[in-house]
Amino acid sequence: MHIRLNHNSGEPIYRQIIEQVKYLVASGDLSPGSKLPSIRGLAEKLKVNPRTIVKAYDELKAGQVVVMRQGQGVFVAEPEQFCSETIRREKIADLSRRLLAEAARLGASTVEVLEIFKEESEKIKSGDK
Amino acid sequence: METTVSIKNLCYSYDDKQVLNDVNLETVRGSVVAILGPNGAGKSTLFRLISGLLFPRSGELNLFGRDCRKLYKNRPFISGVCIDGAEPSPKEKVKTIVDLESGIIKDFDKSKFLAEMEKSDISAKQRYGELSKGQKRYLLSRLTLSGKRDLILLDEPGDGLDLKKRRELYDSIRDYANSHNATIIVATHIINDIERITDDVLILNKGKVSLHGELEDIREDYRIVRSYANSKIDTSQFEIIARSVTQDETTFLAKADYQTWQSLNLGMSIEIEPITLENLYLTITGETGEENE
Repeated sequence: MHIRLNHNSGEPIYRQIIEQVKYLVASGDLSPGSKLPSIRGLAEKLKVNPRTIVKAYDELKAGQVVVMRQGQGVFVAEPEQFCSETIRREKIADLSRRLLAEAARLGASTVEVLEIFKEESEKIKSGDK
Repeated sequence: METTVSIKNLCYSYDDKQVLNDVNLETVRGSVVAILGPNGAGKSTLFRLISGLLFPRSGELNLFGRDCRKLYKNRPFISGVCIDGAEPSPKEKVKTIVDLESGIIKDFDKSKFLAEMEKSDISAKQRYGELSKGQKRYLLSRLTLSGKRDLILLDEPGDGLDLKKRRELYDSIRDYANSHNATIIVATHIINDIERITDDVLILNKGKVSLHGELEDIREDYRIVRSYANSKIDTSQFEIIARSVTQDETTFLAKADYQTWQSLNLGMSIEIEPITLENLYLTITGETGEENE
């Protein structure tokens, strides 16, 4: 699992880990059922306190991105474990409203938003960053 | 989490000059703690107090739950310390320094250690006084990080080292804290190095604690808010922790929760900056940072 931290972006490290794991799941680099590194192992690799990894993994678990299996470790959740269709649609609609509101504030048109959205989708598919 | 160092209302003066004024600090196992502050802020005095080279005049200083006055009564605590005033004599040979330490440290591979020092042009035969400042720091820091300890104090461990060596040293500080569940307190001026690995931050200024907290929490809830041309700022949505005012700029260190910051828009001439250790330090100490550029 390839994670790159930026220590002077001001973004909390645990949030950077969460975002990047989510991205790796979305891009398919981390497939459902695959095992995430151990807390100690990832802390050593990233040179952070193990508590930071615990915090990130806990939130990923709360967001149902990963599941924890007692004594075995942390695994990427199966997509159907995420949520029902109604909840899924509701969540996506909510995210879209927030995206559109922010875009409007920045003066971007819906067409421009869709364009960027398409570009980013392509990037995720090709595993690019 | 077990508390390692606990300091409450600690004051210290040399003659009539007060150098530490009502200092509070609590550290836990497995943490790296950065102590930052301008020269003369009281960092060295704090280190001397924690390491038993000085005794507190007023306030409490407990190590692993024990009062330092009792703990240090019969033996000065100098193991695990790499600070000014606790250095070997300049006449001492590197080999002797390492020999002495190897008597204290369990499972210490002396020849491996000396071989590693050779790579930094430090030979066993040299006298301590013949080493450069950087080599001295490197030798003592590495020696300190070789044994099994619960508490380590390092004063400017990267001083005089090149970037690559500093990186290695700071990585090994982080690894040590993780693998030994130890507390490592580091005083430094090189903010970028410590920002990568630290858990807690304590900023000392003129003997007082200006800020103390976990860096992750500070990144989450704190922002630097700058207003140019002294535009009016609506301060109702955040708490002001510190402020500095110049002729054409007002800077706040402000606190609110993460979600508030995500949605806050204060207007055209007001900038909200995320926290870096550098802008945090400059805002708190009121230094402009210009002399460093």
